Amino acid sequence: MGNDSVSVASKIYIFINYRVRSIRISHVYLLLTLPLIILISELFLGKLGVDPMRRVEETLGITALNLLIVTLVLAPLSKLTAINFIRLRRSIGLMSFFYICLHLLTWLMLDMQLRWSEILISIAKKPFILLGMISFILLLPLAITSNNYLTKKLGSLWSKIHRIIYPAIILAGIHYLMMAKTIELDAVIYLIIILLLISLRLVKLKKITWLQK
Amino acid sequence: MKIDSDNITPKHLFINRRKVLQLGLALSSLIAFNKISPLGAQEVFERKLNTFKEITNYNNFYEFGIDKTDPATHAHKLTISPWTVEIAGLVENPGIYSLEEISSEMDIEKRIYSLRCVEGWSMMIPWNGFQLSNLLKKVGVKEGAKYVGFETLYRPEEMHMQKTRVLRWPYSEGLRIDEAMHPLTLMATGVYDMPLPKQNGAPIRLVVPWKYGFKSIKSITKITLQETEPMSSWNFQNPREYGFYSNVNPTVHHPRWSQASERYIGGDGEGYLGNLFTPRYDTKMFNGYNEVSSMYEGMDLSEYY
Repeated sequence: MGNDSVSVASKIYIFINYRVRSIRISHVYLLLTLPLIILISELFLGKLGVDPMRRVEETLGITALNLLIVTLVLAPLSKLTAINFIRLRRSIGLMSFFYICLHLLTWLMLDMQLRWSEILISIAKKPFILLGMISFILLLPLAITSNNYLTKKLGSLWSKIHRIIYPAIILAGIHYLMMAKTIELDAVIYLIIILLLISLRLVKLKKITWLQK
Repeated sequence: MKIDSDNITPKHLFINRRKVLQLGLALSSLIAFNKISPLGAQEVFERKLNTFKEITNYNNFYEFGIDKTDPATHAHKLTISPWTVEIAGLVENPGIYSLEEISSEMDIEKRIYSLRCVEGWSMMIPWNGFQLSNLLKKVGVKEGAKYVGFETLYRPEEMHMQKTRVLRWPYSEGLRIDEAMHPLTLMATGVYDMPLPKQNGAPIRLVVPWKYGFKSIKSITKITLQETEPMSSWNFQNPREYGFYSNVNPTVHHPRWSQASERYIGGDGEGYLGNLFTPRYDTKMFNGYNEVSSMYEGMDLSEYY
């Protein structure tokens, strides 16, 4: 009986591992344009309410944060399951950055309407906007170095640069939390998840070896 | 059940009504309303009216949820009949008055006001209502009354957010007596010549157009004339961000929103894509209602924000 269950589990493992390994990266990019396509169709269908701009702005920000969180999940998940999810990480991270750029552009163009003096005052005087901007700037080198050429060229420096994800995502979480007029449960949950995932880095995860028999 | 404008008024009536209203209001706002009540700066005055749909689907009414769409979804649970307003404190005739008693004594007039939210957006709304000053004169204000306090209904079984502690309940607001007696200060009982929708603060609410929207307290059940400054829920929640006065003031920065300008919700284009491009206007001191400025002479408005 015991052997049977192990063999079933290992079959599942082999199956999942095979599926994950055979995912085409181009398909990941394609799939992750889906939130944008949904958002645009909702806009045209009039489902974004009386103030669609704010909904577009918020949805882009949340989508970016969701994807950033997924990039944090992949490493511990790979360790836990011994399935290589890491190969998906770059595409998800870059798509997150794509949504961050759209979020920022929406704020600059549709929300603030390129009133630069007010934009600068907002960044200087409004902590949640400042945190968002810092988070964006921190993520810039990560996006720039997310390619094979710079990964090879930078060597061990590359992984050091990419540790910036931790402060950047915490700032993004606080940016979300501070945006609301009152403490919003969603934002609190986001921040807790982010902090939990980061603290996972501190504990060494053991591979579930029995799966690999 | 979800309440939207289509459920309240049959669509063909609503559209006809809107056409008539748009014509009527456009004309009357240019001619008659201007005489009835001064409406502030010309630029503010020239903005297009928001539609009934916009006015009733974009609300801050935390008793029903914190999203702008929550009030339209949940406010139908509110029972507004019977409705009483207690008038207490330093008045000649204190008592609990039914809404009918109050309304029958008052002349209901139309007022088009710009509503400027502290979050940095604004709308142009055609209210129906009466001047608060007329009500206060009727009940007789006693010597020594320096402020007027207002309270929203407290009924957690119908206003589910009152079971939480996002704000101090019942929602409370206050005005100085001269602000309350100012002819611009309106007690609204309707919008677009229809009874006030529940998500807009039915059956009776305050509208103070030169102050940020949260001062215009909804679904009022109690008015108290008093000597001391009344409690204001948002001021209590976060005094650094929300002052007692909360006059619209582009020079006093809010930590999270630009007060130098405002996005005019829905006002510019047609259809949903039109709504995406909301024009941004420079915010005017006192929301453009300069006639109130004499009440604040000698006050440092950056201190008493």
